[in-house]
Amino acid sequence: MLIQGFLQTAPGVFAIFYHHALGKTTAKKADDQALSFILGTEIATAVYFLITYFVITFFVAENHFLNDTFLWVMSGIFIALGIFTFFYYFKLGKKNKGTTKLFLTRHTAENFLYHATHNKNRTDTILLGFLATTAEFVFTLPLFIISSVEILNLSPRFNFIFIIAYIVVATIPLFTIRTLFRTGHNLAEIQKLRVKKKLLFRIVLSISYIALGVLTFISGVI
Amino acid sequence: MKDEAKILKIHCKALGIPSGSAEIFIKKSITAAEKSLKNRKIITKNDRVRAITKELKKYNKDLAYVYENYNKII
Repeated sequence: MLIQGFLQTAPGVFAIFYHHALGKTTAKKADDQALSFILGTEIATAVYFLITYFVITFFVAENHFLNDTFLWVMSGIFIALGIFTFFYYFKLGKKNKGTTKLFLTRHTAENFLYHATHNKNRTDTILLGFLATTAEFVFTLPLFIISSVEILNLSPRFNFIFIIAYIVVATIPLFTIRTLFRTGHNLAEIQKLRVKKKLLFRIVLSISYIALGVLTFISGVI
Repeated sequence: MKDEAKILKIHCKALGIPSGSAEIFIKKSITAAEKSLKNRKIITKNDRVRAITKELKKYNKDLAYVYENYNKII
């Protein structure tokens, strides 16, 4: 759940959206719309997580997997994601040195930018949050799978608490950006901070994925 | 020019720059940028952004930064 907190698409879209909303409407209305965006990301996380959990529960009941092959595959996916996040999650190179451009294709990024600046009501905003979370599905799906497997090992009474905790932790960066805006920071300051921490994000994401891969592999061998 | 001025006004409001002074320096920046690009045969969108950013830096660095990096956040 901490790994998902470090993913950057939703915070990037949120920062642009909130900045634009502040420029177009009153602070109160912008704040209201920002909460709708956060709600959208929470709904997306909850929906994807619960669907994954349901599928995993079904397969476990049928004894289809959770064997060595499953753990090896998951381990491989995590290590591949670890390598990908270090080299390709942020677009690197001289041209992108002072930016936080992500792995998304140019058209997808332009599409997000367009929707972040042209949304008109709460429904649009909720959908934008949903889409921003969906864009990182490749990175979050393996996390949902492994978390679901972990939940199955817990006592049933903790399942609900774990799922709630997962959703809350995933949206902490959005609440942090909202608090920064509310306390008088502007987009320039927030963006400069994100650029400054870009290397940290890459290292944390990469190491976390690889560590998760190694742990999954070890648990499979043992 | 109208679109650029509109976007810049939105940025100014979000950054907390008073609208009166913002309107004046947005107009000045765009006019000066257009003047500097006058002799070029081909002008790309990036050329315009660079020229306007250069002028905006004289008045407000935060606004110049946001305008320059607006498309590079996601």
